[in-house]
Amino acid sequence: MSPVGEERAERGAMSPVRRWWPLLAGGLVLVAAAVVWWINTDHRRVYLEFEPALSILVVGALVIAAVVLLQRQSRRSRQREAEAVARVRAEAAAVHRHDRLQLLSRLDHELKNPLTALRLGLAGVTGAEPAAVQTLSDQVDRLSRLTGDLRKLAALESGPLDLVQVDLSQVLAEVVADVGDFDDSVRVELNLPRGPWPLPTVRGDRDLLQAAVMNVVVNAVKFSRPGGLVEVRAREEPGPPHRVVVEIADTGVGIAPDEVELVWQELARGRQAHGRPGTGIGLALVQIVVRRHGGRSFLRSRLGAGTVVTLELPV
Amino acid sequence: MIDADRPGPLVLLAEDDAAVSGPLVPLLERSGFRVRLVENGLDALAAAAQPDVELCLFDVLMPGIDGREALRRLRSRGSHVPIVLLTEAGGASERAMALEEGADDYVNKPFDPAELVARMRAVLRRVRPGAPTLAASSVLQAGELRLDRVARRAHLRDRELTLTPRGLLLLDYLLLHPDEVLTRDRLLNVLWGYDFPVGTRAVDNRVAELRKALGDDSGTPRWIETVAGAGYRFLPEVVGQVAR
Repeated sequence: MSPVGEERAERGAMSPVRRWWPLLAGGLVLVAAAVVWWINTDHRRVYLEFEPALSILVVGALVIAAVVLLQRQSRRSRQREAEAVARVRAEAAAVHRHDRLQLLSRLDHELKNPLTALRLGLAGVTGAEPAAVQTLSDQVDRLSRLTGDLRKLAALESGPLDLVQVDLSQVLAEVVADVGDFDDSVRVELNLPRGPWPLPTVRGDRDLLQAAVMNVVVNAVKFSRPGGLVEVRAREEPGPPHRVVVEIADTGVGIAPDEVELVWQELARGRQAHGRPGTGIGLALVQIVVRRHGGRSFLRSRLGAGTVVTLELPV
Repeated sequence: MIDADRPGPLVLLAEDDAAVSGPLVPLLERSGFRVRLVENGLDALAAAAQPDVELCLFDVLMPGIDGREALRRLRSRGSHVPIVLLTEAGGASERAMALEEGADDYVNKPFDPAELVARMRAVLRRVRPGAPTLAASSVLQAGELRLDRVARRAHLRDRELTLTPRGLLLLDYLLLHPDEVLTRDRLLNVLWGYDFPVGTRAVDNRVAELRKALGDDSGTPRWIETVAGAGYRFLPEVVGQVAR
């Protein structure tokens, strides 16, 4: 939403306070006037003894009531104001994300035919050095993979979810078993609660959740040093909100403090990533999947020590 | 597969971008095909009606009518000509629709030329003269297994199989490509539309789901065979019924 829209939302959220003030004051004056008039008319027959102490008590009580009421009003309106601003900000962020992914989609679309033409052209090259042709082919493949990855993210944002009750314990166990074949020099350990009861199931798309966890674990392994450890842990948090918290911790190279926000973005790679394979969409993918499941994702890291990525999924 | 006495199969290529058709036509000719080229959807529709066309290769994005619309119209006119689409590789639902609408197969751009040729040959291998291609059928029968592609329901004998949407999509694809080795990467692409850096485990899970529903034993399979180091293959013969 534009800054003007934001401003309007703020103003709208504040006016109830301003509206109630004069009404309440007016009301009190009316009541006081009514009482005075009632006493000053023929109703003097009804004998009312106004003890000064009682009057002060009554007036005091009225004043206190009025102050309490006003305070509650202003607190409620401040809350409403904060909620309105947060809502507007979230809408703006969603629009921004959508626009960015549309751009990436369009880019990918424009690159498709040129890349196809390059691949076909290379397949038809004769009389050239095989090594040179291979290098060209490899680079075209690399470009194709890049555009493929961008397309993947755009599809993830808006594609349909196959929602079922997902047993995350099973998902994590499968991921750890698979990654075991990936790199022998790094230990991957799984730590799941068995008591007092196992992890609750979460409602979600099993395959997407598995892919998200897989991406984080693969990253952890990729950025570990030989002999390092990756620990995959999960626990239930009653909250509210009631959620399952999955943590993937490694003792790897870590991420610099100024890059911690950056690494979540598509194609962004931290300085430590140079020389290691990957196009840099893993964490962007994870963030989209977790967000679509109503969850949150964040990471903490220390350069040279390690990183922990946390995924929270609502139960 | 190139028979010296018989000229190669005639392929109708509908592609409007000269940068693509330029190298693609000679590549197809080197692979043993004869090629007729058109550059928009309406010409494609007219040319596909010619009786000597044995396979159509349509780009989905074309001026006039697009590749998918041409496919739809051909099928609604009762044409059984095999059609392979060169797709945009959007979300899984687009690909599912392409297969549902009667495409025999699809290949995402940018594609590996060798992969394209392999798929075209596989489609031609399955052609039965006079009979609709599997893709043009609304019901597929493999022994006691029956898949109604329009209603999206599968039955084994008279018992209906309960499958997830992706499980059903996988079954559809397996039935459309019997006796063909399907790599995990290809199946991953069919089911999700993209290739995870690691993670073809998701395909294995779906195959396990189908095996369980069909009561198939992976050790001595009747339905789905694991081809070590390569992928999966659907074993029984598939017959297409009730052309659309």
